[in-house]
Amino acid sequence: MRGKSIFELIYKIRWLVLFAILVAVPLLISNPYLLHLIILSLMYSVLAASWNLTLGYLGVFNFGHIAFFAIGAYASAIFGRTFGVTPWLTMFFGAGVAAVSGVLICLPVLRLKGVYVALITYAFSELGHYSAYGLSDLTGGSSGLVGLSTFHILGSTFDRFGEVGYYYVAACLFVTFIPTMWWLIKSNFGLSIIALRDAPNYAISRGVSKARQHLLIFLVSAFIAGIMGAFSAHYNRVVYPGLFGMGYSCDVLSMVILGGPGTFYGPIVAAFLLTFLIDFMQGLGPYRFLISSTLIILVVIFRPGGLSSLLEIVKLRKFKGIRQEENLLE
Amino acid sequence: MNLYQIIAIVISAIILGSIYALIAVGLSLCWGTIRIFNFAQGALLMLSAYLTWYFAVSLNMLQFSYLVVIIIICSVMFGIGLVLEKVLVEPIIGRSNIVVLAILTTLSASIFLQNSVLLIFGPRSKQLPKTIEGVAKFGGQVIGYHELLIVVLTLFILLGFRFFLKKTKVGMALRSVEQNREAALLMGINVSWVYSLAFGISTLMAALGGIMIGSIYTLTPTIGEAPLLKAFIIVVLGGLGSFEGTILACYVVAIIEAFSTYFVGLFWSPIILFALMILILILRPSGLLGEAE
Repeated sequence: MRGKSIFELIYKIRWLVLFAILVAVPLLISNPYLLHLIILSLMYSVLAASWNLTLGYLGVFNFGHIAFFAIGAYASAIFGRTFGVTPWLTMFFGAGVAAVSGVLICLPVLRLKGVYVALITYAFSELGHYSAYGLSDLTGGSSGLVGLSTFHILGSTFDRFGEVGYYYVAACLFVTFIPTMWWLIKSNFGLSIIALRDAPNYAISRGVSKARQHLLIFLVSAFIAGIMGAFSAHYNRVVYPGLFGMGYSCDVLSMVILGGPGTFYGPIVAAFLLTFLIDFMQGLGPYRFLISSTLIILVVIFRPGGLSSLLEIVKLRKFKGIRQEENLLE
Repeated sequence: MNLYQIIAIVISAIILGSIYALIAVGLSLCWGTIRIFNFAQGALLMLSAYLTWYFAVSLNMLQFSYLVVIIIICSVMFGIGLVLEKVLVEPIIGRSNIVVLAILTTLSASIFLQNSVLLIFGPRSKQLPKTIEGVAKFGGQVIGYHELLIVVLTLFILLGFRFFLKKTKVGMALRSVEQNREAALLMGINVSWVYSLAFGISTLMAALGGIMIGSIYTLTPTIGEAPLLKAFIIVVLGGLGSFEGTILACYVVAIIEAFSTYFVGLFWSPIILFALMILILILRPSGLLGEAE
């Protein structure tokens, strides 16, 4: 079984391999547009993975996750504009505001069950959406805020290096948060979350605090979504109410669902695939939406496990160290 | 601010509430029987408005009668509803997270329909002709016969639907599935057929709402989005699956919307309504007329 041991070795040092690939990408790819797509993929994969924490691992029908992303973007943009602070700091301010809103929305979620959770998170997201229109003095109304300050390093702006600077910020966020979430899920804390999903009464009787774990996981996932939102705001240099919108939400939600909620790699891989697929179809105009919506319906009906069920076919799960994870969709 | 203005706002709220009532009753019926939320309801409303425009204006079928057009649209939309249920809902019935999956499939269908309509009919906005021209005047208020007809017609549709639910065998089958799916199955009710029927009826309601809304506002592919948002607030306010509560909530939401639009501005009325929805979900999840927990 020589072949298998090489794979096992690669699996053991996977974070190192991942890190090496991420560092090398801009050296190998000079096409700025391709690099732009990779930056978006990194951003969406972290966002999808953070949504997966509540939707997949906690098993809560959270439909408002995109609101944390948008709140992070808006908070960072407004803070940066008002006080003229560098985006390096406002990103954390945006993430903080998103985390606080995550805790706030978690409080009523704790009291509710099933579909009411879906409704209240949806209402929360729409509340944010319309507040972005309504509070036009702060948010710029329907035209949003444009020309946001960008990242600086050693006195020169990132625009001088093209996409490379932003790429490394996105890659840094990726290598910070993806392993953090992996560690979180595999820790005792993560086990208690999964226990709360699969056997709530047993978990509670064994001393797992439902309220505490819910609040913590909402805090973490909202914080990560918020920081990605802030990054997106300063990368695209614009925030607009559409960030809260259903279309945007549907794109990221399909990454989580098609990737397989409750599996770690599924949503991350799906985020990369879908970002490129969506961009590839961009030139097709309205046909793009016809294709993508048909695709989503077909996958939901015929491949309920999403991408992770495809991974199962190639027996990736046979590797040592990958825990057999129960898939929510089956 | 005088009495005339208040009456004018209330009249506009009642017209708005009538349209909301149709779409919300459909949403509530789908939730009650199938236990899913139909996010395609808004797009179906839009589709029916465009189809009405096609039959009435493009094919010039108004020369026969508006009634002919309405009957054609209703039967076509009912058929579309039955087909959509087979495609979008039936394959996912019985899965543990059917609520999430149904939102995803119906939302995708709604995006599909919106873009199909955009491709077929083009982005130019259209307007349906009114059923009856002319206005009624009383007490200093002016109200179009067409709007008056909408309010009266909605009342009759709702009463008829209530009669259908309470008195006919098919309606009782629908309610029995709502109350206890397993028992209904044991009594020999074809549950999968009831699901199709519920989806078909809710599509029919959306179709009627579409014809009404299309003759008041100009048609765009996104015309169904705002009524769908309001319908969600309404079904929560009225209590999920409660018929009377839903009807009451329609007019409550329409009145709150009309007054808040008048007093605090267009963008603030959805904020107020969604804040209300969150409050209701926290304080009284069973709705206005439901039992307090």
